[in-house]
Amino acid sequence: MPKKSSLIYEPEPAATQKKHRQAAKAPRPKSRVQPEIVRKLEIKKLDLTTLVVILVLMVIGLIALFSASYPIGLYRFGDPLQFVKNQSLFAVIGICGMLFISIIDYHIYGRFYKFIFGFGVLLLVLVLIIGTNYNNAKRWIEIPGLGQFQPSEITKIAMIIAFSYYASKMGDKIRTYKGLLPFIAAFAVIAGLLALQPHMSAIVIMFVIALSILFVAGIKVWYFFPIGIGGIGAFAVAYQLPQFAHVRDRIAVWLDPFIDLQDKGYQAANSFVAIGSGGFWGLGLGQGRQKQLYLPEPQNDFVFSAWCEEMGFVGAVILIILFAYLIYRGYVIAKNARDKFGCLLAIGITTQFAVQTLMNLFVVTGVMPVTGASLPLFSYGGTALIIQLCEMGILLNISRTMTRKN
Amino acid sequence: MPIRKHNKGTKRPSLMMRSRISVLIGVLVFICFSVVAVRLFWMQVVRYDYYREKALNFQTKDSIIEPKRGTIYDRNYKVLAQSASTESVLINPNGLKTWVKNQNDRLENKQEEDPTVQLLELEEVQSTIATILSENLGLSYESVLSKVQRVDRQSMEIKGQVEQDIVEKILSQINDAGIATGAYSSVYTEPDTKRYYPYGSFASQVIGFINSSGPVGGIELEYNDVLSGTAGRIVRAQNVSNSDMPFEYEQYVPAQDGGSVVLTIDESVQHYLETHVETALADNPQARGGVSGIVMDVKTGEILGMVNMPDFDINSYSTIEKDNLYYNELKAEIETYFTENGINGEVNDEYLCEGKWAGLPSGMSDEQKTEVDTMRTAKLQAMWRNHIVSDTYEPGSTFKLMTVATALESQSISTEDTFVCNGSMMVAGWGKPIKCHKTAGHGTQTLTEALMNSCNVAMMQIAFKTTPATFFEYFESFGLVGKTNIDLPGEANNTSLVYTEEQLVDTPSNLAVSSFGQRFKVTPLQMISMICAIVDDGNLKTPHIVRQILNSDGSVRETIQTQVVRQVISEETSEFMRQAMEAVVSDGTGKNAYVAGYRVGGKTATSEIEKKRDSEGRVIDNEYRYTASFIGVAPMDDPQIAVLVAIHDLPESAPHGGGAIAAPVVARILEDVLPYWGVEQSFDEENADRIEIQVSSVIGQTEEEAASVLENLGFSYRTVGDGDTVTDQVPSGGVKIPTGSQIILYMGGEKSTELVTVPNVLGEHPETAQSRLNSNNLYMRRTGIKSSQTNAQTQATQQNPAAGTQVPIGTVITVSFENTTGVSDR
Repeated sequence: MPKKSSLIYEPEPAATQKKHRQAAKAPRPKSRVQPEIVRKLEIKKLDLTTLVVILVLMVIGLIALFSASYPIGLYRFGDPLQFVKNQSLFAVIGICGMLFISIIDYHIYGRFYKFIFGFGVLLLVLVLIIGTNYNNAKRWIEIPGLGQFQPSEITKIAMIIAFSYYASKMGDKIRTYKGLLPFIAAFAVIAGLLALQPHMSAIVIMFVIALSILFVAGIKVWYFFPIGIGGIGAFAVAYQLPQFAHVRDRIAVWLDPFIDLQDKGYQAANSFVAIGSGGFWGLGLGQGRQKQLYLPEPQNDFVFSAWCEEMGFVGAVILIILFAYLIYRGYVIAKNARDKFGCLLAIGITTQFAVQTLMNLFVVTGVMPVTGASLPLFSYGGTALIIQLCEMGILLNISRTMTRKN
Repeated sequence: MPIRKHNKGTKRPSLMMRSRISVLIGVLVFICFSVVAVRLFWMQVVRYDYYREKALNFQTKDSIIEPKRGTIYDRNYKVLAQSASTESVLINPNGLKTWVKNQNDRLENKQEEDPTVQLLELEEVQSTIATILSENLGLSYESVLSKVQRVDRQSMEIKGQVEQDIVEKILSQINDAGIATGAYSSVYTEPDTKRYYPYGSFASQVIGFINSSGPVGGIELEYNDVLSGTAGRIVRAQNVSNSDMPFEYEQYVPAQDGGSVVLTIDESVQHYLETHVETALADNPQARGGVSGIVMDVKTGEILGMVNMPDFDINSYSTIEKDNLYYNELKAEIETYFTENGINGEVNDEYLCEGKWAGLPSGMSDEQKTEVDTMRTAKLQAMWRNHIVSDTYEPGSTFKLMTVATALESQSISTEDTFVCNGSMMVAGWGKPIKCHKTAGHGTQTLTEALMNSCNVAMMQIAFKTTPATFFEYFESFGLVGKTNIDLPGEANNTSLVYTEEQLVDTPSNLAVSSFGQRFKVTPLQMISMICAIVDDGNLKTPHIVRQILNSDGSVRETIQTQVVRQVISEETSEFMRQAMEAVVSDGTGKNAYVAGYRVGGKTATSEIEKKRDSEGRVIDNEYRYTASFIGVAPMDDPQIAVLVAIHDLPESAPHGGGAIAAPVVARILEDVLPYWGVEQSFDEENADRIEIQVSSVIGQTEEEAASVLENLGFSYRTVGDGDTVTDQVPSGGVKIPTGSQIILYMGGEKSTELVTVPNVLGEHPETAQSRLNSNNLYMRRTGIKSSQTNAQTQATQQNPAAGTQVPIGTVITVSFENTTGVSDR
């Protein structure tokens, strides 16, 4: 299989070469187990630019995480390398998974979309039963030996697959009011379950993802007005509900975090100070001060703040250009996808990546109120990272079908 | 590249889809990321300074560096008060809990590999720490444990002012027990200082002390600005847990240690003063206001010694010494309170001395205990008070010096004038004749004699000749209205306690009583300053107690110069006053202030005190009460030292005459201070008997040779044994004994090593005392009243060593004699 070998010789940054070699071994035995799938695939060249940007972001992400998590690892756990060691391991696993998934024909997901969607919903039910409670929210499921993960991450990709497949099958019917009903119903189930956790940010992210898929699939644009009004109305109602008290608090402090410095404004204020005090050129890699236990969770949601402090405006802009470019490439892949399903799937995955990235950037820079939003490829978290990379694998697989015209 | 065709969804994305994707790219890629970029530009470039300022604010911890408080020295640089660095021991109970939890998390991991690893129990760790702390700090285990268990608190102070070595011991013991130390996890320290007063109760009211809220009284308060220094700051980059950050940011503003203060107080003079004033208080236990004493340098206005007895130990300023004046008063007051409130039980020393409620009867309510505390606090404040500066008294006859000096200076009278005293005088404004203390009258007296007799009638006559306006003018000039402006806190302002010029003019009786120092009040300090002005050519000086202010490195910042306020009287008037004062001591009421070999002058006073009234204005004293005082100055040819002793608030029934009880105290003080101060002794015929001569050693000489040596020195001798040469002698060579004493020469024998018992001579006439001591082979050193003033009533009032002491033969016994008659001045 001469074309397959092209996978192995992709140029990539030195730091991940070793990981890559290990990763390359993975597809082989798999391919032997399911030879018919592999044979059916006409393995074309994947979009090299996208892969490179992903790998570059991954490497920068690990460096940023290392620097940001050094003090907290040292003071809280006695091991400064604690976080970066774990994350590197997950990154290797994730990249292997990504490369493996990139050779699996994405159409296979469409075939099982009902099961995948059902699995995603089931997980949301499960988390309400056996989930772990943190800060009055049940969002996590503990897996012995592996750690914890958010089932909503799985549900997101499940919804993306189901919606994009269903929408692509539907054809022009999507432009009718009736055609939208199944989507609305499916989303209502997910949103309802998420509201029970409660997990406001996941609902918002999924809403935006679903909307972007339907938008590209061709729903009438004027539908956005009732959807927008409905969304705003739903938000206004939710804002008043006692279950969403934490949302209210967050928005209040959002306006000036320095007012409630000791309590609710603490996170935002420290994040702003980290970013702002970085200045144009930054304090230099590893020289950050706010990560010295001031910045809450510098290894997690606020890893970008620590990066901004150390690398300054210049480093921050380089980073957001990389993110923007990756998202741009995702949409280019969607544009040039071979079929509608591939296109919509790429839209869903890319939009999810975009929304999560932007949400994190908005939160840490204060464009929106503080909510739990991690930065893809950067924030510490094994299962989330693996899932993200796997989704990138799907995107890369779609990129193999790209036509280079236009 | 064959394209797989499916039924549906296999078509390439339509143009509509592609254009809608472009819309998504536009919104999510360009617009949203631009928003982030603009926001970053705003924060990192435009608002950089604002956030950098905030960052410094967040990341740095300000710590105050306490400056070291300066030292207080006596005039010879002996340390009277000094600060030492100590530590406050604190605990972070919450941090300890967190530490135990974190430690257990770590231990759990280890436990998986090695099941023998034991987890920590929070309670066990707390009790270990409480045990270590309570043992080393001398605190009760329970009280420490209760602090250690306050897990809601980040910081609890265990004890302040702990010495460095104890702190080190505590920290090492805790570390040995496997527990981390530091502000984040358990026990930590903060710098603290402790003030030491090496001499304890020495000059306590002058020095003052420092309690938790700052300096209280004395030099500590007055010179607090000098002593305290300026606090410094360290602004340090620190992380949340207060450990230094790895990057360097430190701003250091050093603390300015306090300057030191050199007092004019002389440790030796103060010691002599305190010893004799304390004896005076012991001799006059009924003195309700204690005894005050000042020694002042006549030429400079420097205070050499200042004390009010009873005093207190500065190191434990809240302790009332058992059985002293305040102790007894407090005990009586509390007992009255108990009777009035029907409280059974007794108050014991634990409360009276130390103020601990444990010493009060258990039946009392907290309110009652607080009421009793108020009484005790009042006593403490009286004990801390420098009465010489802060309280006023009616000066009495010592004031007559001012009356005379004023009259002479204003040429209202001349030194040649005579004054007739018939025992009393009628004065307008007073219902009955104002009596002289000698109701029979002093007859015709010269001016000097009027002072020697302390004649009230003569003083009234003199004051009226002076006229009220002039009298008041000099009254003010002598600094007797207002303050002396001494550099001590809380000086009383007596402006409202003296007669105004109008009152003197309008009511002759006011002038009359003022002339002999009654019915107006001044501070003892004002009195002694006035006397110093009278004897020192009329120069009134501002009294002061600080000589120098030193920088923290010991260099001199400021030297306080003598400040002459004004010359009140001329040198000639001063000359006359000195002679008159000397006459008071040599032949007048001040006889008991005589110090052999020194020309002492002075003036006695026995002033009446207005009777104490209760809150409703009823008189509660059923006896007349007096202040007995004496002001002595020496030497009168060139005055250097002035001493005032006032025995406050004596009842009629007790000895209360200034000439009888205060003058001897001044004499004793002068007797010690004058030689120390380097004032030469000089003897004339009058006091030749007080000369002491050093005995030469004549051992090894023949009797003849020895006899000529001894007789040349003015000694007589007797021999014991019949050898040819002197083998031993009593007293041995080098000992000083009064001239005319008899030396025992041992011819061949050895002097007996047996000890003799000192006989009691107190209350005896000098001749009796002399012969009794001589018959015991002891020598008498006579002090006190001048030999020529000896009369039938002269008696020994002090002897040293005391009766009953075992001493070798030939020991010199100092016996002090006083006259009890002819010293009355009322």
